Amino acid sequence: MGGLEKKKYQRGSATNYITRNKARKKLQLSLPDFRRLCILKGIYPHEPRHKKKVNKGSTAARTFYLLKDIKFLLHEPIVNKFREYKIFVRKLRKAYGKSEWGTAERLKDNKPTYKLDHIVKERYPTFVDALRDLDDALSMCFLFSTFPRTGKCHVQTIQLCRRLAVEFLNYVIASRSLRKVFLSIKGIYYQAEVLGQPITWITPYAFAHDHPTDVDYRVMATFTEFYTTLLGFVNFRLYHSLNLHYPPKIDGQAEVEVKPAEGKEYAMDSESYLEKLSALSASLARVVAPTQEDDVEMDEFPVEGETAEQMDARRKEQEALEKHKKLFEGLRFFLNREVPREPLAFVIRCFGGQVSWDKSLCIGATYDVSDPSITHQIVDRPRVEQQVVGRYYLQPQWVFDSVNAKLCLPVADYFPGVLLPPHLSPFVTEQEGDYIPPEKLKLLAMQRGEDPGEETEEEEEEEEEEEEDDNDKDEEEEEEDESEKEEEIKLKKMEEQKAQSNKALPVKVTAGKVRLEDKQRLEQEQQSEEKRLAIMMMKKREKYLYKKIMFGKKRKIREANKLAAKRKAHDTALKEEKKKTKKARRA
Amino acid sequence: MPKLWLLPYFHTQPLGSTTFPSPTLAFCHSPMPKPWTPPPAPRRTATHQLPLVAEAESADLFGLGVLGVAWRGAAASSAVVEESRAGVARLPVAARLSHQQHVAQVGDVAGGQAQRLDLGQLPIGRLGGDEGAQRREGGVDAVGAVALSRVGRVPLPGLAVQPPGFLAAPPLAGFDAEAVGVQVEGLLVGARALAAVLLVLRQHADLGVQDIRNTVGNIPMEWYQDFPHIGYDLEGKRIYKPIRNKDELDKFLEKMENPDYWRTVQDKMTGADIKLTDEQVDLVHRLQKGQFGDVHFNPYEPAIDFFTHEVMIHPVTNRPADKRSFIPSLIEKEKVSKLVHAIKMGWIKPRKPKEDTPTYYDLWAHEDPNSILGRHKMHVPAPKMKLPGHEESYNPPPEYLLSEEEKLAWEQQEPAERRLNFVPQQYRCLRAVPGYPRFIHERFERCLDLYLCPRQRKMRVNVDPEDLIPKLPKPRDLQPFPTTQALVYRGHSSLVRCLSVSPSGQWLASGSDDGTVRFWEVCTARCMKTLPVGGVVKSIAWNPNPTICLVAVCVEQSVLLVNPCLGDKLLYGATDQVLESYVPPEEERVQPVQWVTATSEEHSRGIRLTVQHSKALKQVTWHGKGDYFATVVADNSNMQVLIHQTSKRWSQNPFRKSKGLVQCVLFHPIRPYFFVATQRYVRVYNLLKQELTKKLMANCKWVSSMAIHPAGDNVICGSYDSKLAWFDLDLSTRPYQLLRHHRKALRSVAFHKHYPLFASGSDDGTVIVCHGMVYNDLLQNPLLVPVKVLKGHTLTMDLGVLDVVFHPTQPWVFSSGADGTVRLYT
Repeated sequence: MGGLEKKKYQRGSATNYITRNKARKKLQLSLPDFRRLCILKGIYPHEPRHKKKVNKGSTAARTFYLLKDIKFLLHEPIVNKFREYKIFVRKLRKAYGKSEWGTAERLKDNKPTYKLDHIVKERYPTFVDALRDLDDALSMCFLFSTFPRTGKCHVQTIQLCRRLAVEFLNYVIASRSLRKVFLSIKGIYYQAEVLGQPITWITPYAFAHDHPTDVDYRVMATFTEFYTTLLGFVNFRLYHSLNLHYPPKIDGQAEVEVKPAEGKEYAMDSESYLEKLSALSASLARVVAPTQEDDVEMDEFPVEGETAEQMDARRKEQEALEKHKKLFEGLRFFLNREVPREPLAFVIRCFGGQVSWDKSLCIGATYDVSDPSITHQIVDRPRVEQQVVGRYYLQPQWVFDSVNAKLCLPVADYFPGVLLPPHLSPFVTEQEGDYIPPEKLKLLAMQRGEDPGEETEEEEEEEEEEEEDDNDKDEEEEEEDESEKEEEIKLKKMEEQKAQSNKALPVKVTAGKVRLEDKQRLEQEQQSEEKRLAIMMMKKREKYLYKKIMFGKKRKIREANKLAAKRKAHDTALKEEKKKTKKARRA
Repeated sequence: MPKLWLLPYFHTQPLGSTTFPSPTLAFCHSPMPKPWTPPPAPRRTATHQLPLVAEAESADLFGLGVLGVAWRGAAASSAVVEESRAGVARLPVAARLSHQQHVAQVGDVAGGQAQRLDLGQLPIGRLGGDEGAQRREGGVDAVGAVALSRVGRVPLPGLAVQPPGFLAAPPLAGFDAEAVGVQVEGLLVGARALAAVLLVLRQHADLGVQDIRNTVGNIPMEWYQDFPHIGYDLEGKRIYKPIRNKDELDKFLEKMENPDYWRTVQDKMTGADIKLTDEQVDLVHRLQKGQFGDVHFNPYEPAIDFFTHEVMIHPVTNRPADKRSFIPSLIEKEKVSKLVHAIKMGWIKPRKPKEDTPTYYDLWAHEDPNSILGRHKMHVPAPKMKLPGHEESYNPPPEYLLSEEEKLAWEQQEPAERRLNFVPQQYRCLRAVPGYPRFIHERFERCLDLYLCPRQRKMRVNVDPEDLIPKLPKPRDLQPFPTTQALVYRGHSSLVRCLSVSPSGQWLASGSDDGTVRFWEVCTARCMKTLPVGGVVKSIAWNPNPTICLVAVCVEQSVLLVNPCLGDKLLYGATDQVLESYVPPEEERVQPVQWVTATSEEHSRGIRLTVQHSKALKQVTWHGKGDYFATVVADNSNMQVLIHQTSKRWSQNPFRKSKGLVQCVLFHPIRPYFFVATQRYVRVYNLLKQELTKKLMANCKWVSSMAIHPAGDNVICGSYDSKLAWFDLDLSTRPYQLLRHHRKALRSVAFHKHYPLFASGSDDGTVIVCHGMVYNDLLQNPLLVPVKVLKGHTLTMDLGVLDVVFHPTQPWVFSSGADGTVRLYT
């Protein structure tokens, strides 16, 4: 037997991975530079499947990168730019140290810059890839655009973020691609559907941030640097896909509408333009004037293997979507000054509504409060002093709930000062066995086209029944043990009775009762017993897995039950209170 | 070394006049002051108009000696005043010091107001002593805006003619007289007020009223507390304190009665009370308000620009241009040549042209979906952020809000362990929703996750748990087996350790800790007989031979062979006959045990024979033929297992060596094998060949019981670690299957004689009956299916079922429990 001796860790997974420090040495970069490079290039550590093998027998905690990734970084032109920048900083420092202002000026003129275009292209070879990864980019840009113009990061970055965010919002309005909105305690979530990709982002409420000290803003700034590049290209492409100008231009007609409302000239035209854009009230100019043929009906080609039912369902879905897009078509809204203007204007405009606000509030107001054609006025104060006949005064939640429900909800629940119905998350799709809040059930019924007013009580009843059923089901499972105990107890009782009867000699004969045997229950019991017996015979590993799965399921059920019980308690408390108040009134 | 004390006042005197005060006017009193020696070479500075500064030097600290005042320059014989510079350098050190001190003092005391009043510039002495300045300033001195130097230039009429000493004396004296008993504290509070008082007092001095000078200087007046006098006047005579014998009552009365009490202040220097005039009070009020002291002063006069922004036709200076503005600069030339050199050498690079490519363009104009880079095969896209649920809403349904306990639990949890990283909250309207304080944190954590968190593809197990359950034949198809509890045999008062059924299946014998053996009729649960044996019955075994009616009972150290006299009379009669027909052999053999025939009394109870061991017994078991039986002694020696022959009343020890703690022994039902279970192993011995044939590993910690399949090829072992091991002897020495269906230790296991059933009783109080089908076909493995869990025994002292026995013919199972009952399940 000849051949060389095989050495350990020289083939296989050990050679595919490289530790972070080694990678850094290979690239000859400092740790901050390496991190920046990783952020820009989207390179992340991998968790090897056999960590000990990769770690050459050691079990120390290390982060591993794929060797291929690192080799890939070796050829990155940006690495050289990093080095150039380092040298530039050194030179500049020297010039300042020697008070050579001219040199410093000259150096600053030749400051090395780099572009991230190729990285964007490389990371997202297709446009859809880029869209898929847009969530974080949008959230970050929206966050940065709310930062104060001092301190934390460059003003240019903040302005750029604001610009890109506004552009994206304008695109969503123009394409009417918003689908879901959610007012959470963290901020406002939006979900738009662009080219079939759901894009979700969160914007903070418009308050000043108290900037935490334990956050490294440089890391965030590096991410933002990449995200702004990405978002810019995406915006460009999206605008062009709709035949819109990029950078966006406000539509001529709309501009005329906007201008007179302004009153005074703004200081700088460039700034006011962005502000006008961010007012979100004007539509955008198109490269090619829109024609009436815009709404060409798409020809339908039956897909192979699709049944007629499926096609029908698809068509229905399409129709529903179209209807959803035109939810606020023809409605004229007016926003009071106490409601958050930007999110509401954005949402309303996304669904075809017209919106305006007090002209002292923000640029871009199109009509006044006194306009008689206003149909809805959004108000967030307990009382409205002077109400104009012919319009609804509503709380802002109505807009969001309506969008999520895909229909204009009845307005009665949302009048000013009224206790609002709960605001539900549109992102939750309840599976079977999950807890569904009764409001959601009501909403589902409404969407199906049933009249909610009559249904509610029945629904509630049904729901209670359902809950009970649920309870039964899981109780059975939990009861398996209990039933055993119960049997024991029964037996004991019987025995005791027997013993007593034995003791009490005068034997009594009582009329027997016919015991109805519940066949179903018997059957069930038998089945569950069979199952239990079969579980006894399971192998150890399978039993473990089974128990784990069942534990998870049970926990889910328990949580659902807990929620249901809480709700029930809450409802009963409410009812009692109502009764009391009624009685008090009568008395 | 005497300290330098300053005169609290300064004199300014225009110089250059012929009426220069002679040096002889210097006041020299005892102790001799050290006159300051002027510089030897005085300069002619007659034209200089300098403020004359009087310098006083006190020889003793307490001012007991009279001050020496020297005129600067007066000491000089040439009557020329020392130049100010020299003065600054030498003598006026003291003066300057005092000057500064004043500035500091008054500045501190009077705050900004004093600064504005320029008190520092006006060295006013302690109590506005500089009468010269006062004179000059006249009524305006309170404002003090006039600089001393400027004042100095103004010749004062009537001042120059008098020698400064005389000049100084009268106003000060008058002033002091006035100032006697000025009480500063108590009336005017605050620094500004003090300054005001100073000014007021100076104004007083102006009025020219008599003035007694206290010459003690700038010292703390407390030093004179214990003396009757308060200082010295200019002539060196004591100034006595005004007679004060006011006590608190007097003060109070004065306060109540004197309408001017509020405007009376005490002069510390003289101890006299001063009543402030209306103007003075007004001035104090103005200063307290932060206004200017002078009523007529207008702080808001229109400003006059000295330099204007307007271009004027004339230059400010009329200086002709320099020559250097006409000739080329050498420095510039050098600089240029340096730059040229640097450019030549390539050290300076020309400005780069700005790129004019647009920042954003259609990047994906030529997108190539197939251009997936090599690394993308291993690419793990980052998981998206979790979408929010109902509980994150600003107005969630009420059930999602945390109750108090839940909130407390949430707070106590580690942040990493929490299921929600926020507390759900409800706001009544959108306006009330605050900003989320951890928003930036969450974004930052997401960033960290994106670039620092190792990623791995994980296969999620998506198994239907039902699929994991093995498909077993339904128990219903495997009937018959015992399903319900049919009878309970009551009578024992303590735990029933052992059971045995007669081969006919009609009788049941049970042994208990209460020291009795009871015989029951199986069908009726009637106790036929109770046999007290006087000890704990550890084991009981009915002779398997149907023609013999004999029961072996283990009681402490002996085995009792009992004829229960039940059933067929012929049968048990025959048994007795067989036992009695024993003829002892001629030669007595040495035996490990003693065979004792029962006494008549015992005989009447049913006991026929007693086999007495040397140690306590654990178990007894019969051979299938009914002649031999084996006993297990609780011992660690090689005498643990003994085999006895009833017919010959002969016992032997089969093992030479102990192989561990023997738990139980069994005879093979058909073949001459003997099974010995120790803690971990089951050894199978061939009795004929007298050798070990097999050693079964039980894979458990402590074997408790053992049973052999009637066909003899399968053995089950119950163990205290709640396992039941099924051995297929043909297959392996390791268990064919290990069942963990009991929750607690197994106490006994049993096979049915005819039906494919086996049962196990455990400390958890249950008897589990399993279907154990053994096929004749060697290729087919036995089929084990649990068919029934039988319950009924109550747990007493943590013990449940102690023994399990099958009925010999019916599919019934008996169990005895720690609750003192025997139960029959059919």
